Amino acid sequence: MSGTVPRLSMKEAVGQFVEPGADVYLGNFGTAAFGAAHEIIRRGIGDLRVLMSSGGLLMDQLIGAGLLREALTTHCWGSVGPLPAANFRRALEDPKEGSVRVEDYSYGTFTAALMAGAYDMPFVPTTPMQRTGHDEHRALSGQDKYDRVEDPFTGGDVTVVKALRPEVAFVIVHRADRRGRGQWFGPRGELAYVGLAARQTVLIAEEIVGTEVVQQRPEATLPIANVEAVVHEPWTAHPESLFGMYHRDAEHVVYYCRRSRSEEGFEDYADRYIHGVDDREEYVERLREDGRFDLERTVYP
Amino acid sequence: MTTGGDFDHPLEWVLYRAARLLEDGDRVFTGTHWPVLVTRVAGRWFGADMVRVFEGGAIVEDLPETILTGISDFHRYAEDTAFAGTPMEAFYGLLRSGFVDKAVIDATNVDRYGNVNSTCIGDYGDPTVRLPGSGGSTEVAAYARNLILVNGSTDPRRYRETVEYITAMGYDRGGDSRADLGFPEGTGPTHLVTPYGLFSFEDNEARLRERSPLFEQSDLEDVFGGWDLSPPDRPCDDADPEGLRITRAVIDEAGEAYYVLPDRELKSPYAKGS
Repeated sequence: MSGTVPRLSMKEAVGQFVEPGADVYLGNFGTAAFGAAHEIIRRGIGDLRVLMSSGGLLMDQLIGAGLLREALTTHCWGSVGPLPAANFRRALEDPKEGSVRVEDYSYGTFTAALMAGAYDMPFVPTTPMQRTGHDEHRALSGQDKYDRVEDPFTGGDVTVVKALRPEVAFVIVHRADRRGRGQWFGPRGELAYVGLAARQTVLIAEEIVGTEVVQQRPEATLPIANVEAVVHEPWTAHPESLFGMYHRDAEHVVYYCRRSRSEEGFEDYADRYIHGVDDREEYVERLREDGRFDLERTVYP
Repeated sequence: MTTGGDFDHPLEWVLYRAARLLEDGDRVFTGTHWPVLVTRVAGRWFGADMVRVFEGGAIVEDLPETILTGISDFHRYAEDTAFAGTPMEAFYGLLRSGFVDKAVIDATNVDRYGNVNSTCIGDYGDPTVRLPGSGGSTEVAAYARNLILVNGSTDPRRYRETVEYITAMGYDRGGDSRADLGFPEGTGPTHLVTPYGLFSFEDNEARLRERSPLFEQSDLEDVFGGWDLSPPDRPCDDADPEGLRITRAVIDEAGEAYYVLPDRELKSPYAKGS
């Protein structure tokens, strides 16, 4: 791949790469792509199938906005407290017509499935899953999740997980250059694989840097097959944290979890902090106006 | 409840007792929630050389200065991270290979065979109560040697004869059933720490080893229907004053970091008028 990659606003990127009914991976593990999710919510792009390793409050907000058809995840809860993700619970405990259906993966098998997707493997041996709920209860995947096969070399039984290959991945990186090389520092989670597993990737970069900066730390560049666009968006993961750059806003997580305990409370929150702003810059500005923002952001590394 | 010797609150005993199952120098695979506090108590008390492994793929050396709200509180341990890899490396490499000495995971809904349900109560398709899901606890339970389960709850409903959904596999139905299912030899939970007492797994089933000084035997009989509660042959030790002081300090830190703590009001966000 050569040449430059389009640099888009989040509005443009979501508009171009997320259609109703899309199959979207929303990154990252813990460091969640709130900027992308809020734009999806503002546009009301629905009927989505999302993959998220750790659903958290981002998945909770998409569920609250009624935009998810299916979710493949390993965990969905508030990251502080830990307080429940209220929309997630409501949708599953008291489902309505069109409520999200969730397929539970373990984090190991979820990552292994993306690794298989990345490396052109139809499936990959993974964690023993016999008798686990993840194996016995399949909400969406039917046979397309786990199976047991005979190890051709030893004759023993081995659990395998089918490859996952999302259409589009939104991945947060610390920095990216104009050619779409995205660099991530800190634990990689499934970022080691998802950019090769997905057909298209949109990079959300906290910083835009020159290629010579990228070249100083080539080992930090994520393996990605097709970077379709780079979005420059500081504070994109707020209220979650970004390794080396900013802290989780624990106060805001608790505030959100409390507000969203009722549907009306969630609507009020969304009106003020999602629909009531135009983009990430206005979001941060709104939080400041409300006296709800006192974090610092350090450029890393 | 009885007067608890040196302990004022069941959570103090849980964190203190679980921390004492760790040793300085241990490499501890640390799950989210109570395990974060357990390794913090151990780290502050005696574990200067203890190493934490987190499922996102981090090896964290040195105790983070500020308490973590959870294992994805990344920026709080950025400076202490000595290895930044992937979950494949964490689960199938570091854990499976024996790099990890001990593992601690939350087991807030657990049965007498050490099976943990953190997914749902009731039918999976129509749950009465939906819980967070597994994260990587399925892998930790599958591969860890010296696995310590921590249940901080006093709610009797959190202790089952058998759980409905096995999120993290213990000894399944007891006997040889875990091994028969193909889980690796030498793996499976070794201890369960609860507010009521410390259980160890012998012959693949939980047995009471120490009763918490805060509870009478009759309290346990009301909670643990179907479990082996043969009274332990020794009382638990008196609390080490330094360990207890640190445990209380960590609980205070947790309160400041918005942990939901039993019998304490959750710290209010934006306290100055919201």
